[in-house]
Amino acid sequence: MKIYSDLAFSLRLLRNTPVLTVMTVIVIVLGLSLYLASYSLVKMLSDKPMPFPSGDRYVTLKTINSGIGDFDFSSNAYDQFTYQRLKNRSENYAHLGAYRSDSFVLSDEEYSKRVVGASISAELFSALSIEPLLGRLFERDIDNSAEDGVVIISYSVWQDYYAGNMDIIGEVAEIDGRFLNVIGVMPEDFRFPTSHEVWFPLQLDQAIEPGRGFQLTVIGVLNPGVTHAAAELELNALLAELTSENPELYSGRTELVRPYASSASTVTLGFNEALTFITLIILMLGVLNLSSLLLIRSISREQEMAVRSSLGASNLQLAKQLLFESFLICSGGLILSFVALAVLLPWLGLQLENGQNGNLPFWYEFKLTSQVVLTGCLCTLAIWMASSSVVIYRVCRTDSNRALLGATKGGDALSRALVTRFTVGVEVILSCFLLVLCGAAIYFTSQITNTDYGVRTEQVISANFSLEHPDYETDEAKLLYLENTQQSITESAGVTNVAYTTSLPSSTGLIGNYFIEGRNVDVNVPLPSQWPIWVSENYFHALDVELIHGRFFTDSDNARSESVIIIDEVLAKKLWPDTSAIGKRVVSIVDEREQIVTVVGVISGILQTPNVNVGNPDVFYRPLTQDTPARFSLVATLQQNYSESDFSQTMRRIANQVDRNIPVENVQMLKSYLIKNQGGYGSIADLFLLFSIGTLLLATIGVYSVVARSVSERTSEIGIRRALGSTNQRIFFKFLKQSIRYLAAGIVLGIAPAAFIVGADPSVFLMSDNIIFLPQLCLLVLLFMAFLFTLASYVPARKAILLEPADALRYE
Amino acid sequence: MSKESLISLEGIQKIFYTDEIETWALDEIHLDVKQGEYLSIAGPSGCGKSTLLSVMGLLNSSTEGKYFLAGEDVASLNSTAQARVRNRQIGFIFQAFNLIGDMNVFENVELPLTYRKELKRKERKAKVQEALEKVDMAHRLNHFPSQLSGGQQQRVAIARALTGDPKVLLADEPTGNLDSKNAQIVMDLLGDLHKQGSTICMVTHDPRSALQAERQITLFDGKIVDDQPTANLRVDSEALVS
Repeated sequence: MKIYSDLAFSLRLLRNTPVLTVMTVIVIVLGLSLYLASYSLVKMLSDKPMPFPSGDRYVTLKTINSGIGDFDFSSNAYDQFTYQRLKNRSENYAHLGAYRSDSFVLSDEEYSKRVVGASISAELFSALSIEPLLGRLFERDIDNSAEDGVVIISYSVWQDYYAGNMDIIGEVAEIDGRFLNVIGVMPEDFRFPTSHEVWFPLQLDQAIEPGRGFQLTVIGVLNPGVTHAAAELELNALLAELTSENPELYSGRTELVRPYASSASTVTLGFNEALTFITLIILMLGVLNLSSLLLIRSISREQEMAVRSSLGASNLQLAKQLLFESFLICSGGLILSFVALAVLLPWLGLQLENGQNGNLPFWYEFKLTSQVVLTGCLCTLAIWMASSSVVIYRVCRTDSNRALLGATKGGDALSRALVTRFTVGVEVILSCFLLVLCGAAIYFTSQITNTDYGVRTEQVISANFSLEHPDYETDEAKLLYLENTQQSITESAGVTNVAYTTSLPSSTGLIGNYFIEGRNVDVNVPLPSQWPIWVSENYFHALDVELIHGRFFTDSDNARSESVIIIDEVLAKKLWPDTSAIGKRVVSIVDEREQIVTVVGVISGILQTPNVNVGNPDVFYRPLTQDTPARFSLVATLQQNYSESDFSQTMRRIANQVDRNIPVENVQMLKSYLIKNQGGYGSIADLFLLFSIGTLLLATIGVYSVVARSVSERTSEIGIRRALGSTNQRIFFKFLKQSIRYLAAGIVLGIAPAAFIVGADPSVFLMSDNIIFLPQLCLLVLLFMAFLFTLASYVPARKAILLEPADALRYE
Repeated sequence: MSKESLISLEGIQKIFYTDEIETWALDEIHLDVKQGEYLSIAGPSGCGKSTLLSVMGLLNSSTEGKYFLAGEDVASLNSTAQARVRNRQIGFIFQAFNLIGDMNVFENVELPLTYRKELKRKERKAKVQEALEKVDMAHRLNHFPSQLSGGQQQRVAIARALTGDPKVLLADEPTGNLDSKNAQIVMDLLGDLHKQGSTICMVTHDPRSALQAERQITLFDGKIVDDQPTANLRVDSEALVS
């Protein structure tokens, strides 16, 4: 077959059937775009090789602590003792290092800026084999001493903050009130371990006890040939030793070795696998739909193929013709998928970036990389082959003689019906399965945007700042800063109700313990845990939180007065079910400091974590005038004509006036903050929504096309039935009965397994354990499928009924 | 097999199996068709005429028996080789024309030639032109089948059958879908082709068309029950009329 004429003919055929062509291309674009977008995401979140020598051998160490709440969350925090023990005893790593991540304030005489930085093992930094643009890297023997305060800065810090000063090396930088020598500037675009921009040498206490001191994240470069499983085996053997030495601290832990790319992922274990699984099913659905649509095309070309066969075209030549046409469709779909991805990926990156305030890990790439293009091409090839093979098989099996010489109708009806039943059945099962999963995801995303945190969010703005500076070591200094800032903001036009908290709704902080004074404490049972949250006296008022009993904090609650707390009514009922909580005393233990506190108020609840879980600590609100931490969030109410950007400018001006060393960060509306801060998942909620809509479209197109085809194929049968005296109602009823059988299969093999998966481990699908919506969701999917079936059966059946019976009998 | 035979069928049987029923469409068919012969196949509906034609055209395989085309046992060839035989040695003319609606006249006629690798575009074009001129359709090159009358469509279909210079033309009720005027044009065309040396096997219900052939076989229940020159039939019919 000559390529040119083949191409021209195929294009003409596609043009002559625009609806079918467009539907087919949409199916490919949907399936491929969704798959490739999730492939890129999963790759970034799980096992993308690092852009360093031996980048595929970079790993991060993780721990699973079983029994925290209802779920097993992974953590990558190691205490100094454990890290040093692992480093000294492990033999599987070419390099094993650690870092401690924090944010730091860069200051000079003009202004200050907060940046993310890391105290990092000098060995690890050197192992990257990245030469600094200016200066040098850390030298372990020199830089690991406390006296030598040194810092390496990123290219962007050098350019943006130090204006690209060529004499920066050896200059003194003020960071968090400390004066450090700049010894190096890293190359442009270099950020490490994730999005860090300033680096300090990590200094460890060699004599520290297990479980003490700050926590570290551990990174390793495996020796060549060492697998993750082998490294895990060694790590867990070392853990067993530690457990025998200190069972209280180490029992219940399991060590994992994961590709380095997974180190920045805050999602639960199994999420990547779940996402991959779902998108693979979406891809399968796409292939099935494509096969189905190509089959419809091939049926309309049955006679043409028979003519070609009679003119001497071999099966191979017929297959080539069909492959050529489906190749054109698949290629068009692939190109459009790349166009869609070119829009989708940057959008996705923007969502994630907004969700993480611009601090995305350095290996995240939201563009069409060569790997994505290659994967897309391979996927398309697979889709093309898989979907075309069904069509080719059918065409080659078709008796051309029957098509050409007008053989008796119905002769091949049985085999055709079997293929159709199988296609419809699989389509319905896959669609039901995916729709339940996607429905669950949509429910989750709607929860994100509609969660009631128990506070007013309209016109409320928030901002963060930290007083971790040598000038603010005393509570008095901190309170003075807070008061000055509050006063300056209040005096500026357009803002009211300025208040402070250490944890905004949807977030928490320190964890402590407590017990109720006077009640017997069982030494064998761990003490209940608490999240202490410090707030200013007007905080509850600023957020319209209702006082149920007692009082709010007042200015009389100070360092010299009795220590007080406010709790919510759920906790009050839990601790004192039969009496009022007001006046009750609790022994609070935070940072090993015991303190008796008295309940002075009971408020309506504020949701401090989106994952409502019975294992969550209880929340104790404390007045910051009695005990003043260093990190705060500010909330304020904006007047109607005052915008977020107006406030942002005012806030920065005021912060600079009050103290230029304390920058104010993350100025944003409280509502945006709450959406972004949904347990770390807010930023991917949009992705889930997109996936769900895509799947819904795929399922709708697929189910409609296969069901409608299965009914159209029976047009002549409808003619025969009518010729024999059947009423129209009886014909519709027949298709209705058939739909019920398919729906039953969808319930048993599609909806039920999906509901089981969601119900068995909702955390995998980013949900809390609240799955009361599941029965309604299953019913909704069932109703949707029933509607789709009815529509897809009714339209072609009605078309057949509108024909004269004689025309229906002759229908091809 | 006779030495001059172009087509030789020996003991051809064709049985269709449907569940528990066996249908003997062709039963012990022995038939020789000579080079340049014009054969008509007649018989009542369901007697196996079209099945016989499709076996001769390698569109259907026989259940039993041997089929030699130009001395080659074509029934035993694999499907690719049979496709090659269809392409180079057989030309089909169907009752329903079977032109491809999305191809214009030129492309439809060119189609069998596109399956031959050795022909260049220029050669294909020349052959198509020649075939279309034979059927007087060269002026409709760029028309699509839907823009042609039934007679014109059948002439294009004949051109398509001729363009590959086949050894035999197989026509299944070539005038079945045509009015009498167009039917006569098509029959005249087939007569001309025969005069130019083409071998033609034609299934027809129409006695007048059948009489244009030089030999007629009659099938009944899958068996050849009569085989005689049409000259005899002409005499019989004239006698009947007189």
